[in-house]
Amino acid sequence: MTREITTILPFIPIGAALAAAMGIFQARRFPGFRETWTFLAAGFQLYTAMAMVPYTLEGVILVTPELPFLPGAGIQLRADPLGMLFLTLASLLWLVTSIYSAAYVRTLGMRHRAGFFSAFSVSLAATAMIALAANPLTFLIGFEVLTLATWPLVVHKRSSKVLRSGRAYLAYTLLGGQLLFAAVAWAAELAPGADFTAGGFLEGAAGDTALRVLFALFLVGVGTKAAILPLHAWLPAAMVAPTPVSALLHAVAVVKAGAFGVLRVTGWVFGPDLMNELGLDIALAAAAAATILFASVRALGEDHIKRRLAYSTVSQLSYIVLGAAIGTPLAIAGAAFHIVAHGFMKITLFLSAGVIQVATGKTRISELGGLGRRLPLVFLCFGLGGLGMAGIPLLPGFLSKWNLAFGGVRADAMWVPVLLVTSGVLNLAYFLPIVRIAVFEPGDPGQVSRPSRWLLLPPLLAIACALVLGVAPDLGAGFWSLAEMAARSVAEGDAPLTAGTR
Amino acid sequence: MIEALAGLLVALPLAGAALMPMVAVLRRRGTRWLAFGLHLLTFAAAAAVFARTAATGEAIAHRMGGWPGPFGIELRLDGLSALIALLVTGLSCFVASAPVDASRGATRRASPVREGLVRGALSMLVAGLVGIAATRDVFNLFVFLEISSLAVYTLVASGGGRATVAAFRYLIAGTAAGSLYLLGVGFLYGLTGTLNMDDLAARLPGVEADAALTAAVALIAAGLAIKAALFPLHGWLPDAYVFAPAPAAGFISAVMAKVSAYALLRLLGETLRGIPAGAMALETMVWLGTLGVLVGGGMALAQRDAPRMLAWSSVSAMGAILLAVGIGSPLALAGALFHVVAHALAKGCLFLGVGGLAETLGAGDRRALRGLGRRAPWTAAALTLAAFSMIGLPPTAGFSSKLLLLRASLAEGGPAGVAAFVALLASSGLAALYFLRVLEGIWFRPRPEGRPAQRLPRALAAPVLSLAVLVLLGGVFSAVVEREFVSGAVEAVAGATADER
Repeated sequence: MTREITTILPFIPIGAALAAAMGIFQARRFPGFRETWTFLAAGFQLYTAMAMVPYTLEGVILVTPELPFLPGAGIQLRADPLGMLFLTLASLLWLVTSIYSAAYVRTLGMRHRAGFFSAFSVSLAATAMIALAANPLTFLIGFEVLTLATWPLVVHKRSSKVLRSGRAYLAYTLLGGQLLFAAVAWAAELAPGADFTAGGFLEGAAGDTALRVLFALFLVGVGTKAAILPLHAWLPAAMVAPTPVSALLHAVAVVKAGAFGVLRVTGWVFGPDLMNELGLDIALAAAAAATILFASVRALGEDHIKRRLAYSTVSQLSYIVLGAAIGTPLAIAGAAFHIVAHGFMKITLFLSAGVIQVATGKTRISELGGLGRRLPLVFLCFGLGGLGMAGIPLLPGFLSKWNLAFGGVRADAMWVPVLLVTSGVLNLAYFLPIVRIAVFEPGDPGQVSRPSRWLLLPPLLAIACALVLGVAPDLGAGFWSLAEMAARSVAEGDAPLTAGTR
Repeated sequence: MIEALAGLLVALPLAGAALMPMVAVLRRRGTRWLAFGLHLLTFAAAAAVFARTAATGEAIAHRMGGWPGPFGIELRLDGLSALIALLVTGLSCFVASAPVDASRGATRRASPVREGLVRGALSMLVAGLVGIAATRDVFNLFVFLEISSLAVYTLVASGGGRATVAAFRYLIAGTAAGSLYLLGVGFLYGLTGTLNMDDLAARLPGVEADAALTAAVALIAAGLAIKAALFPLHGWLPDAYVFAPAPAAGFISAVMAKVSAYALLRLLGETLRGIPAGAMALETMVWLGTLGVLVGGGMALAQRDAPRMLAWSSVSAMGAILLAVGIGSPLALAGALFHVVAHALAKGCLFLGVGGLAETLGAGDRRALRGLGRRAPWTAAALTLAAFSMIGLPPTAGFSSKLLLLRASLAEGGPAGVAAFVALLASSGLAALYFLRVLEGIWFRPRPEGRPAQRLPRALAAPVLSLAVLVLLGGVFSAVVEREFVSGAVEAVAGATADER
């Protein structure tokens, strides 16, 4: 059973990232300071997250005092297992990406660097707020800030084409935000002052039809960021952003905020029982299954590396949505762990693609012939990442898929394992050719510059983490235990033993 | 002692209005600081009154000429009136600190006559608006309404050129509004024999509900609705806001229509609430407000000209405020008043900033703002915050007011509530479209070739920045705004309606 401690500790990861954003903007004339600030903030965020994890693992939940905002709605953070899992992942990968960004902006001589790094920091502050939000209002604020802070990053290159993509990005995400706003206001009306409660808090709060409409509002709201079909089109469009942005934000922070939101809504607002009663689980699972298959097939036809990765992200995100829809403890644990597993593997893929682009200027798969010998480490990372995506054992993707499949079987949904295997095969079909072309097909590698070692280090770090997680999923941050605890709490409820325990 | 302040609140700016032209002719250099000082003093008086009403929860009354109760004219500031007075006097300080022709280049200084006229008109406007907020006499309200209107016509016309036409159109609409209102008051007087609001509220239930009473309510509602720019009676607003010169436009757009919305709340929501026609007028207002929210948003989207876009977005915001006044639950009133505060701060900021820039550039086209982010990052940041507030994005005041309004319309339920809910959401969506389009240009596009560099005169930049800071603080400390400013005002209305029952 869990116990709550009131403390201001959960505010610190957000504060650190916000302070960095301001520091970077202040130091915009001093290049060295920008990176220093970023490293300090990322390191500090990771440090505080890791300092909070042991409490969570012991069943102690750190809660901040509620800051009053409006009558019946306050801002509060609560470090529960699912939130800690997301926060730890985001801050760890922020640190990894920071190394990469610092090298990337130097190699490419990018402009507007101060704005770039400070918007990055604000995005991470918003992500931390989403992860630790104790109630829908806090979640919503983080969600909207994340949308706004990532806009300048997406349109970083400032050309007309890029600005058009930026508009598509905003149109989708802000529309989703508006619907989430509606859902949050409605939920606040139905259950005033309700916090996220494991197992849901809306049971019996309104009629069936009203709850179904509310669920649709919630799901379109968070599902836009999670790129559920047919709300996925913004993600491939957002690939016009610089690679570090695509890597951290559009493989980890932004899209995972959406997937995380789906888990929160299904597990902590509605709850599996209520969803089952209203027939919502079937609808959501169908949407997820359709997204998985559609995006996998679509990825097969993409020649642009980053866009193929984006479609792969769309498909993998729906694994998480699928787990949330099935709602059995195993499925939820698998889904929650997939946030972590996919994060490590996809960031490896993106960072590798970025190294290829920086070293050769090539962005298309058909042009990769002959590059395997020139950039062996990069393609090793890429190949391992692709295998992990397909769910090969010893890589972390296996653990999440295995649990998802069994979670499906427990819920008498025999089609889930079939779907997962099909999707795994499709994954192999669109990732392995990339490595095959690079290694085995002859081709003119053209001008290949040696990538700086600071560009190579981050993908290696990420894939190393992934390999470790595949064998020992609990090492370090205890990701697997956190996922399992989160799933268990949905099934059993995580109310403290006695109300008001300190 | 504090009672005298209530009278002073009106008398001080009124005296200023008389004094300003004289001082301007005698000693033009000192006029700006004298005006600023006078507005500041009025604001201090309003703050003192507000602090007292907030602390005691009781209204501060001043009997003009010492005549008591229903016979004499009573100025009474309860929580609601004091909030409006505070807002009006506070915003006037921001505008009065700027030179009359701040946006027309540093080289052009206003002539003494012009300086005196514009400053006097601003003072008179404040006197009229504070008077509307303070008075408890329906005829006296008409007088203050006319005082403020005359001042506003002058201010709008001072823009010269096409502003004269806009002012004339506004004058016709405003005079029609005043006449309708006065006619309604005449009916009421004939029916009840009193002009005092409390007396009216007490006597009206005893009056037979006949056509005369219905006509009285309809006339009063229509007259005030024109002034408050309730759809479809909003026609005067866009031109008047666009053509007024920048410093004055900032003030007019921030408070003018809102004080009329206050009058609607006072009369329909409080005094006339008990009678069927009053309730029906409120119901109509919910629907018309809902339509106004949509039409205003749609029209704003269609504008190329940035100030005109802002003006149409005001029509949308007034729709939101009036629909909440129509719903009339404490939650809705809290939302309406929060929105009044949030919108006044943000719109004032935007009109001073964008209007000022448009005038310095000689072009209102929103493309003229491109590249502002590089050129003047702080101004651009201030405008961005204000725009976020207009859309209703965190962490600004507009986010909190929108949350309250959405919850209020849901709690109301029924077709009207659902329609209002959907319209409010849609209007934020529209606002996102038209504001982010401008922000994209400001931050991410280069300055067009051959366009002059944009630069907001320092005298306008200071109020723009401070208003943006207030917008941000209002969002972050929503709890404080709600508790200290809004809840007292809501109680003043809700308490009065509770007494009647």
